[in-house]
Amino acid sequence: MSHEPDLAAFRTELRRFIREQLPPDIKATVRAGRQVSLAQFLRWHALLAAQGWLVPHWPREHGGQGWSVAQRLVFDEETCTADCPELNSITFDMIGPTLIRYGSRAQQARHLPPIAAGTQWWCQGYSEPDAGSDLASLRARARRQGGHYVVTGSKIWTSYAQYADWMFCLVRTDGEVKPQEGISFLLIDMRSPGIAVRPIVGIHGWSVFNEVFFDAVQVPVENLVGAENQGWSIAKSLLEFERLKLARIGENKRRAARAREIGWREIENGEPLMRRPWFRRRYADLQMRLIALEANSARFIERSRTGQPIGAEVSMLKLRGSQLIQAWEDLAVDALGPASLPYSGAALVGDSDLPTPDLAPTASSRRFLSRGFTIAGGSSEIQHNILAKQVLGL
Amino acid sequence: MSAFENDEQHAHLVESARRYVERGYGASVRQSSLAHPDGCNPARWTELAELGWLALPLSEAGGGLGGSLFEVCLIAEELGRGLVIEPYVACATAGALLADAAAPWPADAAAEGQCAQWLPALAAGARRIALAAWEPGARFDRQPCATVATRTDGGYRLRGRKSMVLGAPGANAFIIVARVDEPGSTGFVRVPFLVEANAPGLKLTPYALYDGRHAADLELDDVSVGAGMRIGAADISARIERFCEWSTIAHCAETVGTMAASFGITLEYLKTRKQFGRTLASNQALQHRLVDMYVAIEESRAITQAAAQADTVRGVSPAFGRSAAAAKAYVSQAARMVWKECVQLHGAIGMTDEYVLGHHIRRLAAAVTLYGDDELHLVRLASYEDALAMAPTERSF
Repeated sequence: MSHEPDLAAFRTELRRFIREQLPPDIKATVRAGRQVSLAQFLRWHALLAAQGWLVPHWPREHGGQGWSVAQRLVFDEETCTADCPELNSITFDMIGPTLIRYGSRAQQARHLPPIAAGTQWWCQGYSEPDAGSDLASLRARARRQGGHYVVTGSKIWTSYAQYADWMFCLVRTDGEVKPQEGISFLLIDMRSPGIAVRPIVGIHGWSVFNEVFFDAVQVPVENLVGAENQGWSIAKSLLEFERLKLARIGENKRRAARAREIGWREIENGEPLMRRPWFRRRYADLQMRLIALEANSARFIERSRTGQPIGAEVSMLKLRGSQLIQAWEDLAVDALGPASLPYSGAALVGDSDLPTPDLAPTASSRRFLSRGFTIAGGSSEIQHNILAKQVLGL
Repeated sequence: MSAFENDEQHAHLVESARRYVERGYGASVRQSSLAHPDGCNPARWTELAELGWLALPLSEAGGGLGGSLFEVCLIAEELGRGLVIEPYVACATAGALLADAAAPWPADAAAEGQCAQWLPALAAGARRIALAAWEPGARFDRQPCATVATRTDGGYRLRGRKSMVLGAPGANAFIIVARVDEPGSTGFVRVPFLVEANAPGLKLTPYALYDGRHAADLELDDVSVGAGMRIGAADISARIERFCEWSTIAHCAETVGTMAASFGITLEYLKTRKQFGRTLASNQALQHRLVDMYVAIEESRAITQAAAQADTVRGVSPAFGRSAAAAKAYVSQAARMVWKECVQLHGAIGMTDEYVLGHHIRRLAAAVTLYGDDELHLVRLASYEDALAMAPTERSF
């Protein structure tokens, strides 16, 4: 549903760009559901940056295009459904805009150009072994010592720490006050002495997340964003766009297309699954949920376009978008049936050495990976709490 | 069309509908409508006409206000919120079909003649018509059409049966969809006829539904109708489809209103009812269930309004049909979940007839089935998806 007259033309332009520019090996990797390597990401970043499309939602003075929310969501949808790698949200949507809003001039000058060029990768140091959904109880400690903070402690579930050049990190700088009031927001060079990254192998077989250890890591005080002990409010000020994006329409559509493809290809009793009542029913049910999610999301985009507040009810989009992704992954596995069982670690990162058809070798891993969508970024239970408290007044 | 144009006008419609329900449709008024043998109190019907809501869905060429389906949905949601019994959705959308047939596409003198006689009376609430689109044994599938219209000297002779015609009791006429074997065409075309309620050979079997609405089955035993009562000289089956979608989507909107009202009652109850020394609403397990209901209702409203905005003037485009099927499937599932959760979260009081919630519960339960439940509409949705998978653009990039 377009409310901006130029969106259709924009879509056409995007499609042409992707058709002409997306390298075949990257497309194949994404299509197969394998892990995209750092080198592949960096190549894709360079292509987008050359077009001015890597950080188009940033303000123009920082290298952006000033795209509207609707344009940005069309971009996400088109790139997702055409098997482009999903851009690292931590880098482009979180730390970039956070530095634009809260960073010092020096921090902006140092980090924004390489982020906009696609050469600097960031990870997020929030969760700890004893601070997950209850983030404010975090304990990684930063003591001020002359011109440095000395950071000791650990972070966990840090996605793509193995790719990252930098981490933005929540650390405790005051242990005597209310938990939320003693937290600071630090930028940490991942090559600093005293940092160790331990990959965590997931139930899916990939090492997407990591544990990161800090042993008296020295961080220059100029890497503090905002004022000391003000880190909590910075971390909580997720930008509007980020919250709208959490409907994950594009990612859901990509999965819908995969399910459809499997549904037409896999045969049961001489018919494609798409003709079998059980598959048809489940497929249609998920499409229905996707249509509802998209319709609901459109209302929030419209609010944003007309300058109305988004409100806490936007948590609905995160809640439903993440549940739906899991349902598509479940359907893919169930549709593949026996073909989803053969497993090879090699097939998760490179060409498949299994006899199973295209899309099958990674299906079970994708499904396991998708469980994280309702855990990360505020679990479904946290979203329920937010809606109960802030919208229903409970 | 942008959904979000005319925001002010839309807000005004909602406001006036809400005010009408709050001030003019209290418990005793509703009771009198429920007690009326037709399930439609003529005094209330006149009020709906005076507010302009009966003229709203009639095309301008047909003498109406040319309102959109989206606007009809805004009214329907408020009427659903107030549990209005009068068959607004069923009869207003039947009128919309008749008025649409008068629009010059193609110019049709016979239809215009009918419209000149009927439409002003429909808009004024002086007459009421209902759409007979479904047949026994076909549940809510609109495609089967065993009712046959045979050509006679002066017109047609109709024979067949129609079922679950909402708003039929007390209606002055029906739009009967019948098959006509057109010379030169291979199959048959589905043609709407306007048949007056007192036509010889037309037998009406009225009944009440468990939610208080009224409907009827119709039997046509060689009913003679004049050629002028055929609505549209050409094949306008696409328009019949379109207005069946109108009634389905407006029904969804009405159901959203009832869901919202049920939810409001339940939320309020849980905030006040105390057990074990604290309110029920302070229990996280119950809070999360309330949130799930809330989200289902919000998504229901969004998907219904999106379907209404997908309306296409000439027949049913695949995009419109797909949206409509998805909307009714979704709303059916949501309504089923909401009514059951409302009963459970209330506890025993939710099972009593005298408590106000009971009316909402029955209404929602019936709404799931009416116009086809989720199973039927998911089958429809899957058919639209087949077309999508075959489309050449699908893998063009």
